[in-house]
Amino acid sequence: MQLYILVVGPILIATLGYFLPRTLFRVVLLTFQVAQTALAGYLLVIVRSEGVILQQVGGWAPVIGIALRADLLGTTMVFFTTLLYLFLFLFSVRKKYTDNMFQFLYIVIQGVTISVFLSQDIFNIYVLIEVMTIMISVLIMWKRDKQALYDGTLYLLINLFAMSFFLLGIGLLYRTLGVLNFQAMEARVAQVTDPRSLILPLSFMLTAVSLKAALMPLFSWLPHAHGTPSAPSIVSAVLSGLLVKVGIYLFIRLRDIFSAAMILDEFFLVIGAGTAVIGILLALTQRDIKLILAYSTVSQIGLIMVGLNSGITEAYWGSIFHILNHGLFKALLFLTAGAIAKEYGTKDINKIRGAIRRVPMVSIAAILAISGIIGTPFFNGAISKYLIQSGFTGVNETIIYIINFGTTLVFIKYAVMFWGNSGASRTSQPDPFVNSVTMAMGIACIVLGIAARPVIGYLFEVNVSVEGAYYADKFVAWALTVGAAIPVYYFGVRKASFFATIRQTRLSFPDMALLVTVFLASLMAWLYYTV
Amino acid sequence: MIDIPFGPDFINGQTVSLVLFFIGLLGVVTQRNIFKTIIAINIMDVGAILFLLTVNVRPTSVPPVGSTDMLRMADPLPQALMITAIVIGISVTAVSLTIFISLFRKHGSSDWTKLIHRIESR
Repeated sequence: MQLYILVVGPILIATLGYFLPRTLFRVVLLTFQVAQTALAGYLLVIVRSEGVILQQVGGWAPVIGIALRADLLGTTMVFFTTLLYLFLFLFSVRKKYTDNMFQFLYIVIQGVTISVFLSQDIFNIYVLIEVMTIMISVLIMWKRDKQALYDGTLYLLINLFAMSFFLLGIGLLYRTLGVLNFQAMEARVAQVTDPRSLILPLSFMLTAVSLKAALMPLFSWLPHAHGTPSAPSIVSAVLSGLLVKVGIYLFIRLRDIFSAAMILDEFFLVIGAGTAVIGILLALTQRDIKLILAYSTVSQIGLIMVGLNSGITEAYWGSIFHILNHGLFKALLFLTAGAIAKEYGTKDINKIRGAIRRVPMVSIAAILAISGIIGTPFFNGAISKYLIQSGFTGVNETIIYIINFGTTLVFIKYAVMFWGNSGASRTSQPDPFVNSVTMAMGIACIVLGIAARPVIGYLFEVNVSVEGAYYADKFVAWALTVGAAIPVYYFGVRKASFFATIRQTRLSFPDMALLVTVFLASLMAWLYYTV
Repeated sequence: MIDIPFGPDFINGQTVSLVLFFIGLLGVVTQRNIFKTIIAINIMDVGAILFLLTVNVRPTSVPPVGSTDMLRMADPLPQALMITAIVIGISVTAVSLTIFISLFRKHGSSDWTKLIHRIESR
């Protein structure tokens, strides 16, 4: 099977379909998305049974040209991308904003993302990410109101700024190693006699990647981009569910390549824990439902980073499973938030009440997603969080507990909008596509939770042990967490006035750029003292 | 014997490109005007591109054009890549400036700190 079909397919279909009438384009897209998902699933089966696929594009000799390589991690991400896109396409069938231009940009991003997951050339990845940045900023600004224009500009410029760090990092790396191919780089890193010569390129590249992944001091762009009030909800969903994971994916790749020369675990463990805690704090201060979800993404990214850098096998694979889980339930949360906000005409959490009576199907799907993200037993989030937690002891375990407790607090704040008196009856017509897609994604959260063990075993070839007594323990722990979080929210968080002060502080662009520089300097200093 | 760091050899492509990069960085961090931010990011990009062009180039190297001697010519790979990077740089700057114009028309200001107060109401 030729890997480039997965990359070229979306781009070709989007370009040709742009000239078709709108209805015909949709039919073509539906066929295409189903075929693409089937193709990605087939690729996953092949990679699982026959091992890694490596192909040279354009007939160049290995190492010189661009190689596409499908390994288990990359292929899983590709399959997840196509599946999420299929869901989001079905969700948006009846939406008014999906004209041909929108679909063109939206589907090209799919091809570009798949290409990032398959590409083996670091310069190629730079190009792909630049393309992605431009297209996403256009989608963020889709409705062209004041807030959206500001958010889009901010997203575009901060990412271009970070990518110039990445380009310089590539230059420094090429000077040191002389290759840009991942495999060749890995082989040459093992032969480097002085690991210190890799500090400079690595810290430039990791700074850019950390900004893409929205780690601790560099996440200020994320709530702007993901929480833009007027951005279509499928754009927010794909941003938070998928595209922020591109940064994490690149981090995993870079970390594996340089693992022979230097270990980055401690630095990113601290950064990850900080990201998780600060994301929760900021989420608790917000009133806009999309902003709550955006900051919750920040905290979940922190949790994923904690697991990735723990140095423990279970926690590592738990994190990778959490990448998929978080993609699923956060995309679902953004979709349902969009549907609820449309029905109520506001995004203020204090003004929305009784959603479960006014938009029942969507609210039930949202509650399933919330159950996933707070780690209710039998849901997917429970398994990945359990695996991340299982590697830690002592103080570190307490930190994970605090993160879980914080996430529960945030979503108690969020879930308040489902109860109470809705004030009015339903105004808009229910959209069957919205209802069925959100419901299907909610059920997928449970299915992934119950079938977690075979799924992890199949996708990553690892056998993780989930102990038998675990479910009973877990249920008690979960009940205690939720039981403690409700009074803490009602008597502590809701009344704290200093949260308003935090909410009012916003960083301007030069401040964010300064933080990027500070991050670069501290990463360099840390590497200089440890390597 | 003390090495003097700022000899004539010191001014080569690599140091100049790094200095350019950090001038651009200084611009991004200190300037509050969005237009200047875009230009400063462009300067950073140019610095990075120039750096890649100077990799594996000696003063005696000849351009890798036609059938030149393999040993004497400059490394062709970064040169081929940088054509792409330059094109990306141009298009990215064009997009940023276009977006900047519509932002300016909506908000009537090109100052990051003023804009943030106008957005504040959320």
